[in-house]
Amino acid sequence: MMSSKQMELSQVNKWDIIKQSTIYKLKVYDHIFYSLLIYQLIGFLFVFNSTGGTGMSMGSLTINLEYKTAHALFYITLIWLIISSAQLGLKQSRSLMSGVVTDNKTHCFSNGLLILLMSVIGAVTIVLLSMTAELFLYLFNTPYSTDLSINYFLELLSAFLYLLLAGNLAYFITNLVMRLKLIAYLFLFILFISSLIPEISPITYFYYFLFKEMNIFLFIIKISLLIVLLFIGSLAITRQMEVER
Amino acid sequence: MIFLGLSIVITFLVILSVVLLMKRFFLINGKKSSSTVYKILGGYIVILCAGAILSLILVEPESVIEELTEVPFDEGEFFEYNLDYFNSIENSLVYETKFAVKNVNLAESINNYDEFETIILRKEKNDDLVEIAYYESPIYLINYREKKRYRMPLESSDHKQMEMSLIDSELIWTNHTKREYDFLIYTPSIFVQQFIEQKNKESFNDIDIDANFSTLLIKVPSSMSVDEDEFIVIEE
Repeated sequence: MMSSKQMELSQVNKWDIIKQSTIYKLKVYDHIFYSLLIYQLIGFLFVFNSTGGTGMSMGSLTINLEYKTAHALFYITLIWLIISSAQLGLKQSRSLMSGVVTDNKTHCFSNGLLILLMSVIGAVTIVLLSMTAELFLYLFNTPYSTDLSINYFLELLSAFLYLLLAGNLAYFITNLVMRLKLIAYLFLFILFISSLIPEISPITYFYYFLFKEMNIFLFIIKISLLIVLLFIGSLAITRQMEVER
Repeated sequence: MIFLGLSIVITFLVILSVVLLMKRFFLINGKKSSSTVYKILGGYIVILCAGAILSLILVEPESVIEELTEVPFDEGEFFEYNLDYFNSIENSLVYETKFAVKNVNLAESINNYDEFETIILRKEKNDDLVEIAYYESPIYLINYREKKRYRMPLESSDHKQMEMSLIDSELIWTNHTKREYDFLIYTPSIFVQQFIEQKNKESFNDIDIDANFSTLLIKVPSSMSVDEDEFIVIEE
């Protein structure tokens, strides 16, 4: 007969489970990063379209200014991250985790970690690819002038935060739709109705709250709070569906 | 444009080929391994890093960068009758001609709607020669956000072609050159534009063009009388 000590189950370190779960998901969802390459290569071609232009004429002299930027790269990477993060929130993703012993809480944390990783890779590749595109524009357009106020570190930080926010938002909305359909549809309905009146629309307020913030430190605080709130919301929703001690 | 388009497409195909070759090269027993994708991703980031490093090294505007003064072009000095000043203007385009003229007037043509500032200097000698020199200030691209201005390089073919003609005892000069310049400006991406303060209070845009200071410097012989309205009457 076994002693009581041998009968005790060993305490499992939650962080180890989250790590294993994340590594397992990186193997299962490897196609996500493959699609990132394709998306960004398409976005790379769009950088060479002008975003605007102006012309000036003085006597016999005509000057044409053409503006180019890497907006397309950012938008395409944003779409990629939203789709990928939404995939993580689907019920099918939970069933894929049958190979790893985990609960909903660690599953949610590992998804959060995966979204964080995707945001980092997305932001790094956006900045590097936009610099590569600038090189091409320089080599094939002369004379050439650049707006030298481009701060690459600021670009990297801002892109990362926006991608992380979008990823968490997509994950939260997917969880809400999957598990609390009624509340999700009610929320979307209220959002749609309120958007018809810009003065009271939460979208307008959100726009000015975040996208018009010029102070970088305030921006970091605001967006970090939003990301944490969205993640806590996702955690709360997934834990609703679980019985635990 | 065709060259640019071809190079973009070729680069795109090269990167895609590298990605597909790496995928095929790293296949294990004909099956796709999850580590394959991460090796491809790593290779992709390495290529981008190389491009970014080259961009930092090579990308430089082909122009002289100067600190922006309060007034982009100091108009005060421009009207001094000082030949040394004109000689000291860098990159100014000078067109010189000498005409032996008698019984003619000098008239300014406005065929191309260009306006000149005409400065007349009287020579010490009386050699019946009128010397005309044309000066033009360089074209500057002004970046108000950076408080810098970029002097754009001009090709020799950009030299204004002045033509002198004698019509009914009037010596007329005209210019026929039409010049057009295309400038490309690479701006920060949308997700950082909110942090860049609009510092330009003088112009609607942060980028502006400053150019078109044109001067005709006319040296006349000592005997030639000069009319105040810029017509010169020769007295025999």
